Amino acid sequence: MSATCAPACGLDRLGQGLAEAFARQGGVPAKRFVVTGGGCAAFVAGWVEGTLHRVPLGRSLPFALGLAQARPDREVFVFLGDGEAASVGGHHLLNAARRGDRVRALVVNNEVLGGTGGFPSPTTPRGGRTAIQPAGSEPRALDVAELARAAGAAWVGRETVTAGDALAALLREFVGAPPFALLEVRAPCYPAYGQWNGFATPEAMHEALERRALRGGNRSAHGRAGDVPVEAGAFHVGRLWPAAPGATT
Amino acid sequence: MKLLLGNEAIAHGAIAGGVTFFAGYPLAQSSEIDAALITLLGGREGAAVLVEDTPAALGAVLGAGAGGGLGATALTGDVLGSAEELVRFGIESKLPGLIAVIGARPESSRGVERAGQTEVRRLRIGPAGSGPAPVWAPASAQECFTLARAASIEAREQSTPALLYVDDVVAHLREPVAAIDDGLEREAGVPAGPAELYRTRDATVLVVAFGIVARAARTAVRLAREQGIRAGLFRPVRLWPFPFAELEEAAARAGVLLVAELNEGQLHEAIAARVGAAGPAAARPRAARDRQTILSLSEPSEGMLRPGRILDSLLEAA
Repeated sequence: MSATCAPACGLDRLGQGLAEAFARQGGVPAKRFVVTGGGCAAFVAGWVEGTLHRVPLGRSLPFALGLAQARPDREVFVFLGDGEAASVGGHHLLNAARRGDRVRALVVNNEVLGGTGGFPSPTTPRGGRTAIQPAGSEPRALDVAELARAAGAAWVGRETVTAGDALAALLREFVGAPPFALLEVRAPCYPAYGQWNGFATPEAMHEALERRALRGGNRSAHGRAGDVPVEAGAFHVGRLWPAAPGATT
Repeated sequence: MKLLLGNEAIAHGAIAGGVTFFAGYPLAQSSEIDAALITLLGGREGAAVLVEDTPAALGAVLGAGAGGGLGATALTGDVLGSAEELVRFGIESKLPGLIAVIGARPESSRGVERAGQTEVRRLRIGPAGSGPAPVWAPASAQECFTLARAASIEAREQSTPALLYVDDVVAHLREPVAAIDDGLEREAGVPAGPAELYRTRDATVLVVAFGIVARAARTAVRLAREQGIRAGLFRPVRLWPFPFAELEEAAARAGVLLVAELNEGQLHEAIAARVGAAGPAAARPRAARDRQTILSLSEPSEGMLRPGRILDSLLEAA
């Protein structure tokens, strides 16, 4: 894994936003566990106060389950990348949501195994090019937030790392959300993904990410094709579950 | 006194040793441990969780340990590989937990007695620079209780994963177990030591065996004695770290060690490397080192070593 974040990947904004959300919540850092198995999401832990546990890649959610059981007086947060959330720990995610583990999971989804420099992850869009697959990735992408919702998570949200106030608002909701809660944050990875897919700069990826983000609905981007003219790879953001009153699903 | 399966006795011993949490993925040979722990922990919400696989079980057990609790899980040799990474992590991170491993049955075995001891080498788990995690090998239902209790206490006091290694026969023998609710827990919960010695004082031929094989070997030693052979039995109660010092002391007069086990000779390999002429045995007198022969009686496929066969090997060696 590279020792630093990619340029303008936004994880610093995410970390600061999360720290602000914790501060506004008024929680005590000493009563907070943070578990991470690695991946780029582990960097976010650097901004957050709490007792940090670094565990083998893939096993952060089961470890958090045991922590939460042993310490009912503490809040347990898990930071995962899309690799851990959707492949090496994917079945842990499904079953944590199914059981309703007393855990809140933050998934940083940059659509690539960023630390490897260019291997596709299960969330890499079909056709998305990487160093290892310059002709494009063939399988379809997994939708992590939709998976969590389908598996029975009590709270599911999604935002882009570039969303500013909207991200801040969702982070505030997430830190107090009923568990099992999952927040997926889409982030750009220019070195491992953007430069292979026609983006001139990291900032150009930010703009594309915002064009793909559909705001104001509670439906999945994959919910009903043709309803809205959307850019390829579009996704709904905001709180996805529980749905707002009156929302169509 | 209660009649319990070895597996059930493990669960009772774990609770007596302070286990507060169970996470497990049910597997046929170890599922009685899961069921008994779920029942025994039944009163408290969230104290027993069925999870999606063995790594999840290990992760949750170690997480509970990190939070100040004491977790337990059970698995079989078939899935040991998927657990090793987390056991190693638990050792490195000094996290407590009780892990019961039931030896896989040999594929070719038939009939009721289907023990296997093929995980000996793989259970020597430890990162470079530190000793292996403790692995205890009970030979009876009573000892399943005693060692599960002792290993739970050891796990908490030493902040380490502690393992039990039980062959399929011992795990499923139903035998009397003392002192679960008759007020004798303390006496019943203390192992005598890392090794059991049977008629080793003057032994010139020493069988080394653990688990169910040690029970057959005990009979073989008695029969050999009746034929005038000075045989003895060294049974490691703690498999890892192996009680080499105790073995060397017990084998002081023995010209021949016969390592009997239900695999291709994994324990023999470890003992030969340490005690044999080729291995570093600085603590041993040169004379003893030179005159000792270390034989292997290995049975990787039949699922049992009966007393008669061990006796035959003893007579041949003596």
